[in-house]
Amino acid sequence: MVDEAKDFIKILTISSRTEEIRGVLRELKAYFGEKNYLGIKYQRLLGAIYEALTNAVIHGNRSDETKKILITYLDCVDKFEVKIIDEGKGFDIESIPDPRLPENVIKPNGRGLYLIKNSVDELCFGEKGNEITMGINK
Amino acid sequence: MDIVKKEKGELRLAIIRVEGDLGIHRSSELLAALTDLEKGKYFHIIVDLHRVKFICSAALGILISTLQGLLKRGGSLELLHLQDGVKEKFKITQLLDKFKVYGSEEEALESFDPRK
Repeated sequence: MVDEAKDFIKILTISSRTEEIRGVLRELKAYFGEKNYLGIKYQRLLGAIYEALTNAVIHGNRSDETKKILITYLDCVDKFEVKIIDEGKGFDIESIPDPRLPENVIKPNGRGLYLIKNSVDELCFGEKGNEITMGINK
Repeated sequence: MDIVKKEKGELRLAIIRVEGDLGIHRSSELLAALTDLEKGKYFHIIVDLHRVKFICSAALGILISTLQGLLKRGGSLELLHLQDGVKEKFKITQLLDKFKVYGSEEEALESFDPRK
C-alpha cells in the first residue's frame, strides 16, 4: 500500500484465472467496510469490477495463466477509481452491440460491458482496448 | 445447487434452488443442471434465486438462452424470489419482461396447474 497525500493507491497483479477474482473482490469489499463505503454505488462498482476482471481473464488473456492482469485502485477525496489492464490484443469498444436491441436481447452473451456502463459514473478505455478505468463519485 | 423434480399430471417440472451468488463458476454449474434437466425431458423449470444477491452477465445469458430453448419445446423457465440487486440486472438488460417472476414457490407451481 502506498499513501500519496490524502489519496490511497493500491496496485496488484493477478494471474489469468477466474478463481483469483473472488479474492480480489473479497479484499476490496473488506476495504470498503473499513472505510464505511457501504452504499449501493459501491455494490454496483464491485459488480462492475467482477465483469471487467472476467472479461480480462477470459476474453483479454484467453485464460492463459502465464499472462497477468494489473489492477490499480485510487481512492480520492471525491471518487474511487479502478483500472484493469490485461495482456490481450484489446478490442474496439464501438464494435460491441447494444444487448437491449431486439436482435440481441435473447443472445447468450454480450451483456458484461453494458452492465459495467450502467454501474459506474465514469468509464474509459485505453487506446489499445485492453485497459478499462471505472470510477464512481463519492 | 439443490434440484427438486416434480410431476404434475403429465407435466415434468423441476425447481433449482441456487445456493449463493451466481458468478462465473456457479453459472457453469447452473448451465450443467439446466442441460441435464432438458435431457431428462424436464421442460418446465423454476429457478429459485432467493439466496442470490449477485448475478453475473454469463448467468443472465444462460437463463435467457435456456428459456428460449424451453419455449421452443413448449416448456418454460420461471424465476422465484428476485433480490433487489439481481432484479436490477434483469431490468438494465431488459430481460425482466422475458421471464415470469414469482414471489413464492406455491404461486409458481400454481401457474402450472393444467386446469388454469
